[in-house]
Amino acid sequence: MIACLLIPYFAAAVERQIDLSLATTPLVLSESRSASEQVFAVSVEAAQYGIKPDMALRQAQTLCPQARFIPAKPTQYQRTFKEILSLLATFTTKVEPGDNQLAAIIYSDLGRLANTEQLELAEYLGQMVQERTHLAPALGLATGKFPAYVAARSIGLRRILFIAPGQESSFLAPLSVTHLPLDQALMHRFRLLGLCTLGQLAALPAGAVLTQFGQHGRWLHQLARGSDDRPVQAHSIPSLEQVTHQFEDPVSDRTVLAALGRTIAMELAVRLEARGQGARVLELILHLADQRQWEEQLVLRQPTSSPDRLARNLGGLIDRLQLASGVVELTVKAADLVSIRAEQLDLFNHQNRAEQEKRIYALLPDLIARYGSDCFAEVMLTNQLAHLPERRFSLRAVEGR
Amino acid sequence: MSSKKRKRLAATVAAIQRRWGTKALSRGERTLRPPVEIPHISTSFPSLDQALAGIGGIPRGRLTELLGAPTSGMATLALKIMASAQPDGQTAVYVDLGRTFDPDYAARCGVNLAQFLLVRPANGLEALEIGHSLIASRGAGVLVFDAVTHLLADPQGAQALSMALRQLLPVLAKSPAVLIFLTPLQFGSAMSAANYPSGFALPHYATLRLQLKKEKWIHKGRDVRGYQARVLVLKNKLGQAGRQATIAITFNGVVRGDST
Repeated sequence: MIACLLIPYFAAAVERQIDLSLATTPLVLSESRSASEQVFAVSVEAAQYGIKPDMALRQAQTLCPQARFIPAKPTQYQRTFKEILSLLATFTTKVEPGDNQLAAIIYSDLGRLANTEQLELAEYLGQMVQERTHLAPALGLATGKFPAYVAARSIGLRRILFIAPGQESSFLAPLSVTHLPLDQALMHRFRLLGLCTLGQLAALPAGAVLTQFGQHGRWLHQLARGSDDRPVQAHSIPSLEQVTHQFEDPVSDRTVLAALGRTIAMELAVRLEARGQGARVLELILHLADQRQWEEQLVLRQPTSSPDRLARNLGGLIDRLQLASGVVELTVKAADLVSIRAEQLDLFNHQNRAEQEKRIYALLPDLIARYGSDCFAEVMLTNQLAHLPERRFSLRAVEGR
Repeated sequence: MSSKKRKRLAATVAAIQRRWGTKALSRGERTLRPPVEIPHISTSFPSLDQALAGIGGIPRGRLTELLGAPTSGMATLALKIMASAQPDGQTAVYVDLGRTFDPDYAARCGVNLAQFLLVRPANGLEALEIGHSLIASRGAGVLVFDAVTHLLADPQGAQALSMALRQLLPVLAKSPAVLIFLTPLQFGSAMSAANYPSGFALPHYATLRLQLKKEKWIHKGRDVRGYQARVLVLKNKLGQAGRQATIAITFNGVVRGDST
């Protein structure tokens, strides 16, 4: 049984959690794209005025002048979405994220539990999401992803709709074909052929649908019949290590932050060392006294767990700070963790030349043949205690080895 | 900006994008990417590493030029960079065109001479060809050319050398090597930072150009214990140029590069 957790108008819902005064007004979130401002996401009230994502902001202002227009915060929405994902991942490893701009959709495979147990688990999942994020999800339960998704779309928030096995086609039959993943052209053809409901599509012979609409049409036909055998793809939650420090009073002294950064780097290094992993991304998040948040990310070329490198890079991030007010909370995340390549320790270093040196000595015979042996020399220690510096070392022509 | 100006700017941007495509212009904040750490080797002088904004040292896979009067600390800085790279298993190569390499001084600078190759080519073009082969083999960690004045004495001329340099750059970009050219100044009126030989494109290809100036001797009592030099970042393609750092080189037995 698959559960589909749906939070419609997700971005607007997150914004409303941040600012409760936006709860009832039509809300339009905008972002700058190329030369113009465009609609990033909308609330349900704004959608009723015909405002859609990717629409020009000017057009949205014309359609609904009384709406509140605020800049979108995609990283904030992404973070909340990831939080929900990791929450669900604690119950089952089979968690698959869907679209999270128009609505947050997450599929979760609940396995082979009894129907009542699945309902209880789904109810618990919904409660957990609501408690942690204060966002109200709708939950659909069915044997396939598509019927579960349609079930979640069909009911209101904070509710669960369970489609018993075998009941999928009868549940879907009266619903509109717009629930299917259709492009404009196909939608137009369906309209011309008078196919308005999923039941009408499902009633058509499979062969006729294949002839008329090809393989994609055949798949849509199967979905309309309630048959969706796509498995839930297990989504790996990227692991990270994070350290948070809260200040009693706002701090705006950069040296204090730098000193704290070094301490945090040491702590992160110890944790990463214990995991045998290195971080490829360092992220610094500061909560400022004026309720604002400052974020900066650094992508490292090589993953590291070295305290020095972590401290140096963190110091670089702190150097870039532009502090308008004091810092009340500082969080450092070491993300995109990967296993650090194991290296064979060499007890007899003088016998085994380093990799680079080997390459040079593989090349030298060719170079000596071309330019002569006088061109290449090695420095030999002849007499370390010699009084004159020029007698301490001597040069010896390299032999092509 | 007034709304009229904003509209005019928007119309101009739209016209440019219509003609040259949407990617011809983009907003500043859109083009910013999370800063990426640039692979580099420390100079052994913390103040200089700090002055090399955006890098934190001498960048790998790039060309660096050190300029300065003789005894300003160019060769010492190059040797210190070599010494800094060697603990990571990097091999240092010194292309000694002037035949002035002093192994004892290199050892005192911390260079591990067991992980070191000295190259003494016949002329400048040959030096660049050998350098090309060594970099292409990915065998060299640090490659120092001492000095540009000897390169330019090549009968092939500055243009042939510039062409060889151009061929060297794509190979260098794919390798982890640090390539350093030492350019002694004040050998004649032609060799100064302001009046560089016009035919030689080294300053154009260099990612980093550092000019060293000896500021003062460091005394202890009557003895000269070292000297203080100022390093000016003339060019930095990866960060802010124009910064300065003061370094101190003491040579009482062991050359220690300390920042001041």
